[in-house]
Amino acid sequence: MVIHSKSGDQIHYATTDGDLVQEQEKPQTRSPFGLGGPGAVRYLIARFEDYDNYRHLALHRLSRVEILDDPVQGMRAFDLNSYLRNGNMNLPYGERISLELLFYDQAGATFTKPLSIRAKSWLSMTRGLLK
Amino acid sequence: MTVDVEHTEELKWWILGFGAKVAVLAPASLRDEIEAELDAAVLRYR
Repeated sequence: MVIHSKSGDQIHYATTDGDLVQEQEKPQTRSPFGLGGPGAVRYLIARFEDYDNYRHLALHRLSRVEILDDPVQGMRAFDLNSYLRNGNMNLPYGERISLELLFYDQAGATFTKPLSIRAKSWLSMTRGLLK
Repeated sequence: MTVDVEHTEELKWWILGFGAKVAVLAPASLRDEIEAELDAAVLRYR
């Protein structure tokens, strides 16, 4: 499967100096290898045609996707678990720590017993991320 | 508060979101990381 994505004129990318640059209208052929992301935004791990490096494309920025019949080149050599374990998507695939925090000015009030829904939610999230 | 968590960038940014209202006591490595980030932030205002 190959994904063709054609960006519309609503899509802009900010450069490092803050200028906005509109993406080209030309459709780009991208080969998808996986899907992931540390937060609410999901990213497609993909290669651009004629490039060997992997890029992360925010799904909400793909304005139109066309699935082609062409097979993805290099898919067998790609190991998603290794890719994530190497920290490529900032997922918690590493060290577990015993975190000790001291809160001031009642900032940690929601984390005292009984645990609030918010605290439970956060603890659940941090513990549940790819154990 | 002490919790057992995965050490991630997301955790770091969550802690930084509390600004001056929290201090990392342990582990020392994360404490150093947060301190370095806050030092760098202060430099933006000098």
